[in-house]
Amino acid sequence: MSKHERISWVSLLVTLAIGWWYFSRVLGLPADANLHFPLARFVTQLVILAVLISIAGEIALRLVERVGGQSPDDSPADERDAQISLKATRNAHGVLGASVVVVLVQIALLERLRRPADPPSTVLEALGAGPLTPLLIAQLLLLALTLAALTAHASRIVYYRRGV
Amino acid sequence: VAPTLLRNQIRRLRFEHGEMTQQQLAVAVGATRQTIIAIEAGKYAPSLELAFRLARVFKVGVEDVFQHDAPGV
Repeated sequence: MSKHERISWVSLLVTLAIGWWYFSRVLGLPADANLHFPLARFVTQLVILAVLISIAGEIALRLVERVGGQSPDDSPADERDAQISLKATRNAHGVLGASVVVVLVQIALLERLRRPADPPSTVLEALGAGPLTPLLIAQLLLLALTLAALTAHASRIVYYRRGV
Repeated sequence: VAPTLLRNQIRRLRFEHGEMTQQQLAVAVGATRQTIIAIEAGKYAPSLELAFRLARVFKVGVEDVFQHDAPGV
């Protein structure tokens, strides 16, 4: 397995784990919960945590390869890596663009279909039935960014495995 | 992902050049071993520049390394 494919696997797993942990936690909160924690700081801490876990995962994977008798490939990126990266980024941009459109349509729809007499009980319900506060919209956009990152990592792995 | 229409003789040429390994060829042309593996397997069509570098290592023309299989072209 090449260094870049290895990094893609680690990044995919770390993004999945942290994304799942974060969104399952936020979406399950009561709709009237105080979401006004310092979001930017919290997200920054999560990103730093993700980078640290990625580095640890990369080291662990290298150790596993060494123990298994394989010599890890540390070659610098070449034209195929660059092409795979470009295609994966293109796919991620597609997902990000589509997700942002979905968020915008949802905002517009919920503005029209708002049901003030039936308040949502959880954040997840609020995302489906409104009202969408700026903080909830920020969560949706964060979800869109996470989906785009997952798409980029998964695309890289597919291109490395199946050819580009 | 559609496989490339390029056929190549890299495997044969490697063995004709002192059983050169994929790693040795990769170092010689400035690519990764995975890229050489992908080219040999027909999963990746290299750039013109890389194709010329491969041909130069084997001291042959590009057309001796790569052949295009597209019908009617």
